[in-house]
Amino acid sequence: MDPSDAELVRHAQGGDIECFNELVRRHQERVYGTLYHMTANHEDANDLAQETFIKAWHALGSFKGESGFYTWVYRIAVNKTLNFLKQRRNRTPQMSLNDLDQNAEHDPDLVALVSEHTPRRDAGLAELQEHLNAAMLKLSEVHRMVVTFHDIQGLPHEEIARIMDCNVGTVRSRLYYARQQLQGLLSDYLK
Amino acid sequence: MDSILPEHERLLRLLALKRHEVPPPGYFDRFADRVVLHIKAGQVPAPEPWWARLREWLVTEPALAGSYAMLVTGGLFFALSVYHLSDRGASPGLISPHHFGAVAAMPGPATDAAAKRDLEKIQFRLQPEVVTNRTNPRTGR
Repeated sequence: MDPSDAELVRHAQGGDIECFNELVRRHQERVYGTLYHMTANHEDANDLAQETFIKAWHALGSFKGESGFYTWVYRIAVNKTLNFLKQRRNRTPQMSLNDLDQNAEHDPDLVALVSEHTPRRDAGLAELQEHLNAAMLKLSEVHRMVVTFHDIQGLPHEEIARIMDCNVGTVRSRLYYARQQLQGLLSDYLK
Repeated sequence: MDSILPEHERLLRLLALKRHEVPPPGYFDRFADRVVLHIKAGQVPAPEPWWARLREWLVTEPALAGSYAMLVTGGLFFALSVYHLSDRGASPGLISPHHFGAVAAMPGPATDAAAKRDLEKIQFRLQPEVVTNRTNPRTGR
């Protein structure tokens, strides 16, 4: 039976770096995913993900276990991302991860989206992805973050509120506003 | 059937496309090891130098930085105006460059005597000229 996060954290706090390695393995994909959807750039997401876990290792002594390890790591990632994005406002982000995995072509939802029922049936997956990413980048950082956590990564409102250090009502209203904006920006693909 | 779905349902389906955006194959196989390697190598994020932190602050908090710059500029103008006012009032506590010029030009006892001697020499040299230029108004010679 695999040890829990809490057990791994306890060992890691005692200096066991292999236990920390296991924690990184468990949460790397979701942390990376959040950072990628926020920055829309693989290199930036990679750097920020590494910095997040390195900072987590050095700050592990201050982790009291009041929240889950992944909530705590997410908080570090969120703060790093928001600081990074504030600095990056002056330059236009370059999308760097335009390849979809092979499952995308077989996803029934996506097939439906590019099927003959859509007014833009000539649009392929790549074009759809390009427009979607451009629309995401037009959202403010906090709105993009809520959409990323909820609609892409499937986190519940309460968890998002803990990560973003705000109340559930704020999460819901941000999500509502972000979706409204996205619907306006992607109206061609949603009719 | 897809077309009868509400717009937000269709948006959620569209957003699901983002779940298929993945990094290059094998990326996650090495990621954790790279993190541990950095940690073992003691690659703590180096403390940034003060100018880098200042630059970051200026970028991330432009309004605050602007207010601070205005405050500093205001303080500088205030200090300059106080300086000029005190200079005009010839405050003994403050010494301006004008004071140095004034002291240098101020006549003292030694300079008085020298000046008198110079004046006498000049008058002595001028005297013969005054005599030779003197003519008799009646004869015109």
